[in-house]
Amino acid sequence: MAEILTYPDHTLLQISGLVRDFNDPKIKEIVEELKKTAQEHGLKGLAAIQTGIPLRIIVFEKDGQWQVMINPAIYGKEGKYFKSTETDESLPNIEVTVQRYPAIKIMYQDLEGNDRFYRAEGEESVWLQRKIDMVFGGYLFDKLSKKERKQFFKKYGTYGDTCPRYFIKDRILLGLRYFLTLHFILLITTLFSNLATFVLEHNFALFGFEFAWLIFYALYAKYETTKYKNCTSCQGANVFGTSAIYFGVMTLLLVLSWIFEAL
Amino acid sequence: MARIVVLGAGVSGHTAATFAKHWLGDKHEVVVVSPNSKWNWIPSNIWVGVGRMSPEDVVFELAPVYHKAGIDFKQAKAVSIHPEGKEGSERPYVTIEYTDPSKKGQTEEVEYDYLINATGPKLNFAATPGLGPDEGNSLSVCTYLHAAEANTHLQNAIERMKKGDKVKFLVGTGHGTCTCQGAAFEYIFNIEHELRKAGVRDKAEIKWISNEQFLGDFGVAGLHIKWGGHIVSSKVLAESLFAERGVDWITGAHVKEVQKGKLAYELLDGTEGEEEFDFAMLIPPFSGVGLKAYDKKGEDITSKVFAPNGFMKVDADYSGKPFEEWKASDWPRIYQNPDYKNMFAAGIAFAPPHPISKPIKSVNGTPIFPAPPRTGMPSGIIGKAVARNIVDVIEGRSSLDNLKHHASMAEMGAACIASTGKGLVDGSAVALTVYPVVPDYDRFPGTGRDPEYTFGEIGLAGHWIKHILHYMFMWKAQLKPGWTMIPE
Repeated sequence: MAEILTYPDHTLLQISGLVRDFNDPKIKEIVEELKKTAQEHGLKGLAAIQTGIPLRIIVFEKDGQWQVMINPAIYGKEGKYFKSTETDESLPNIEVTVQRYPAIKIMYQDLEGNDRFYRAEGEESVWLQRKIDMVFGGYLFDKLSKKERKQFFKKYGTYGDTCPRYFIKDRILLGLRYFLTLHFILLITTLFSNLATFVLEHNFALFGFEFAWLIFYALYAKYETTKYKNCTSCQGANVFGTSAIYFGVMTLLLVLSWIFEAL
Repeated sequence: MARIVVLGAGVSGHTAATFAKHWLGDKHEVVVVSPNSKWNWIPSNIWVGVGRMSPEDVVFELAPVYHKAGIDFKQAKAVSIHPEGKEGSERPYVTIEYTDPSKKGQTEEVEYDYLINATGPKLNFAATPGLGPDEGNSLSVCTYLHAAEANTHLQNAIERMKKGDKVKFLVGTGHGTCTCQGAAFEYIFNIEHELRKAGVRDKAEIKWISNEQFLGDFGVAGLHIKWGGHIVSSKVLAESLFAERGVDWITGAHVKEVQKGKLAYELLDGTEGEEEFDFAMLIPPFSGVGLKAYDKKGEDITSKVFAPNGFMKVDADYSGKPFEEWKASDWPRIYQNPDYKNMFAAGIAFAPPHPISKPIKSVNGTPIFPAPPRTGMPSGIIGKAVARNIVDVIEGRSSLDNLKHHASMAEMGAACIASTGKGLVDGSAVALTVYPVVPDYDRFPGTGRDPEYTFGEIGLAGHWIKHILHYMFMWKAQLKPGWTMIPE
């Protein structure tokens, strides 16, 4: 009997792969093992990913018969979203209220690779929506709003260290933001007081210092991106975009310094 | 002196021509043949389509840019390729027909030593009866003029809603084999954003119709997205996004016919349906531009040079393998025509060996699955690699039988930023990268893609990046200082 993975196991975050070779005897073995595991746990059915197998396979019992869905995809739905309070064997002792469609249409393949269509409604529809989410790497709490998800993580803990909560690059940038804010305030102060005129006198030095800070940020961010590449793929573009924006702010401060000096 | 002729001045052709000229200097000749006088940064057409940019913001005149670069520009459309030359001349040539108003209709034979076919796609509105702006039943954002027209209709619709009318918007794909779901996805959420800004969202019903097998497929069989500091699958994200913004959806749909105010579609299960609309923006499928090819005797060899869909055959495996046997190695690496080695096809113009997504047919046998996307970043990378190889051959660093620069889509990642609303502080965009573009099931069993690099994010920063990219690529394409440093 296979073990059923539970939250916060990272395997459950994977997108399961398409079953391509229907002649592979392993597929039938996986299906049999899933049926056995579901039976022994007294469950209606299981998605293969719940036992750590990243393949798009779902088995479930209906009217005493086992149904097998390979490569299932929801291509249609009926009715309006409704609130459904659910739990799952992979989220034991956790209840979450999410939105579901009352009826769905699924396209899948049978064990021989033939295309099949299935319409599910009521409880079966909700169960299949949850399992198909899992096939695509979706936990129940993915359906929650940002605020609800925050509460969920606070209550049950996060699912681990897939992504660090804080990047050092963000702290470097935060420091630069504070510095630029201070620079701006001092610049405005020069209009009313002589106390801060040093920002005008040393405008090039300040620009150089801020620019060096930005370069350090960009280089460190590049290093950190490689280190945690699984967290985000667009880091390169993000770093570039962020650097460009900050460079714009720095240039603006320099231009303002010249204008204020000329006044 | 060698002559490279580039057919097309889109992302791929323009990249190939400008880099070839940059590397070769004045010692050799680069000729660009394009029926369009302007270069268009197509990703920003979405913003033209909602009135957030003007058509002038997304285009520039090609002639002055090419003149400055020393590239010979012929505003004309390519009609036929003669890779063996003609009786009495061994030199291959292309026949072109001018679209330049001063020479309109005149034809010319342009000889070449190396040919890069980068003609891009024909927007095949004719594949679906009634589809497209010419028929007047549906709109498009595929060109800047189409996008401007879509905006006029959108502004009219907003005016109607302000007077209390209800308006139904239908956005998506206009055929079962379309690609570019991303453009339609961007457009539907930009419309939704604009309607909210205009205070008329409650008067609008917005619906998505697409040939994707499931919501969040994006034509690449789904991916993971970073959202609110957490990782979710694109299927879950798309479902949540559609629900959050109150956008209804139909997927697995092949649009069969578009009429005034309504369309008919077929679903994967063979059932048929109709959808009424007041405003419809439906992306057309792509096909080859209809170039012909002739041998030395003048006999038609189009079927030898081009695949049935009109795209040029290159070094790919066209044996028609079933899905379970697809390999990364089926995809071209150097984009060289197997019969005429001095002829290349870059960007959308090359014939893919097979789709990227699993081919699916409805129970009636109608194909309903996304065609392989090969626009944007892959197009630019392919164009540059092809130019590099030709330059190496011209300068004696390699031969046509031993080209060194590869750009297989099965070894290449691609980034895409899909805007979900324009605004400096309230905008957002989904930034996606997919690696490799073509799944490699041997290297990455299961999905065929590296999960660490197949990723995305949604947020305001994505919008800023898209905005920065707009200016960056407009700068690069106009060959302004530092253009060679900007990546594809």
